[in-house]
Amino acid sequence: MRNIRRLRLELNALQNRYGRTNVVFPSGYDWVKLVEFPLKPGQYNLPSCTVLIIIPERYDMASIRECYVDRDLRLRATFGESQALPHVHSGFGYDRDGYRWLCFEEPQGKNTGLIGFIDTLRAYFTDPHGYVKANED
Amino acid sequence: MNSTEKLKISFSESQYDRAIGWTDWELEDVSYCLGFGYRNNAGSTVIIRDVLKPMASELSRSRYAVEPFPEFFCRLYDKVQATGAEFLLQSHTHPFCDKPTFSSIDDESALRLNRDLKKINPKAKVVQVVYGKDNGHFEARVFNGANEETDFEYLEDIEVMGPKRMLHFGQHQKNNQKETADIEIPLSEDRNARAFGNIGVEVLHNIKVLILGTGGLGSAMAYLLSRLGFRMITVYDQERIDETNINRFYFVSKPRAAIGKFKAGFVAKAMRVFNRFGKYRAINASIYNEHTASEAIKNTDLIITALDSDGPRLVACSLATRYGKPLVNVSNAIYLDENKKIKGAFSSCQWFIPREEKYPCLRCQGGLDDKAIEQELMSQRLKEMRRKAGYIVGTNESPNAQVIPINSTAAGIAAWEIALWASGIRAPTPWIHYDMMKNNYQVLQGVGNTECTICGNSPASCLATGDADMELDDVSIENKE
Repeated sequence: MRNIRRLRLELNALQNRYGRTNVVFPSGYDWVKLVEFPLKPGQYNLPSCTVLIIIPERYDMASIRECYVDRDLRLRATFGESQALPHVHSGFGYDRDGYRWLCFEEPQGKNTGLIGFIDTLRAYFTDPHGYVKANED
Repeated sequence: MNSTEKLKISFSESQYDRAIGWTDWELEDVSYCLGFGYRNNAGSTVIIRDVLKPMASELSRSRYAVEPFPEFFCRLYDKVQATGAEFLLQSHTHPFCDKPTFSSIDDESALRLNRDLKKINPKAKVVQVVYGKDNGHFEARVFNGANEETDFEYLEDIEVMGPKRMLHFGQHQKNNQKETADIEIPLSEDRNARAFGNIGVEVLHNIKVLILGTGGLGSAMAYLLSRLGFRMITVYDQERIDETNINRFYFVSKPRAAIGKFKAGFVAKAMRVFNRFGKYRAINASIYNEHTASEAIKNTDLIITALDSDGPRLVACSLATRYGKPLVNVSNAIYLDENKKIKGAFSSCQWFIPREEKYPCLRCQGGLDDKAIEQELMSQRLKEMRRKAGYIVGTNESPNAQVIPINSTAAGIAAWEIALWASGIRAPTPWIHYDMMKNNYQVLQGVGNTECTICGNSPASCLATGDADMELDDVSIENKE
């Protein structure tokens, strides 16, 4: 049983932030898809990506912990080959739908909801390796 | 709601005091409440979430009429819109009569409110209550009519859930109160009646209690409450009794025969054997089966959580807040040092009374382990993925130390508090924490967070929302968009 009242408010805020058509979700609120999620210019091989967030069955008692990004998204290297993002895994979840699992969560003990999760995700995308290093246990 | 159902309004005690705390009885007065609805076996309930009272500058009053100004209605309808309320309840007084009835002015007022309310939420309904002199009697009704026609359905009961116990007001409550001498108490409960009084014991007979978790602690609670005279107990657990439970499980007289039986079914049967007057039921299900759990909670007056982990406790807490049901969390723990010797042993009894500031939810009180909740509420699929990717190593499923005296102590403290509350002797202590190593008995008071999405009154909270926003469509990722 999800807290739909909270989700509705958060989705409304996200639509105001990213545009109504860029925030997609089904009527059951099982997942939220952010289309054209903006990325730091020049840092990635794509100008924006799609982020798929799975809403846990018992949101907001349970915090969001499952998220997927575009299969083709890679960090652009200054020289040589582009790099995979840290904590991104293939062969899980929605691979066939074109996504890779990003094993990502808010720092332990925090449960700031969908908005907080996306804000933390933005921090990760700004500097993925730096973010992982700063939040290592 | 249909015309054959029994209708009820459910307030918390502080809400009720606020809604009917009239400034004086010389002039007519009015207050407004916003609420949601739910259905259970007994009928339909309007559960109150917010109380709004016009300030003195926002209304005109006389002995025979009261009318808020438009600015108050703007404030009221803003709130209706923000909360998505399904019911708008108008309470007012007729200070000039003892047994009040609705007047034609009240009919007009209901029509007007209904017309305005429908513009905001077409499904919302107007409820009216009129109180006679000194709130002694009331009449209550739901407006079922279309735009210009009046069609009312009358309500039978007002329920007040609060620290001073649960109260039910019929329309003529003063005349309905039984005299002590009218109540028959069986000889087996004679000593209880000497402690709690005949009326107190009769209340214990009629309060519907739900015990979630029927292990060592839950069976102890069932044992004590059935002997205190509670006759309407439902025990809820999905597990079966195994050999490791036997030395802590109350009611077991033949251990071999008990092993393999459902815990809840076993306890309910044992209570029925002890007290033939009792209506003891068992539900063999998981608290995570939220449909079954919410139906059980809707049909109860008091929830007791005697669970051994915080995930299900939080789920119970969330359902209690939706339906405005008081919850008592009974728990205990033994902590071992690195040499596996006992370093701490605790028993605890916490009360959560939704909509009552002094009794915030378990999450606000701070008695829950967030890390454990995360693990317990994580989907099995994600756990598997994390294990496969190497984020989870090994298992954390080693059982904790448990001994029967700690269960008995926690159950004893809780049963005493519950009996005092139910019989109306005193309000419950919000949180009792007993350190059994230091023999230190502490009374704690948690502070509620107004932004809490469980017990706070923020727009994101599910407080007193009843059955609203419970339906979920089954949409899978494969058929997205």
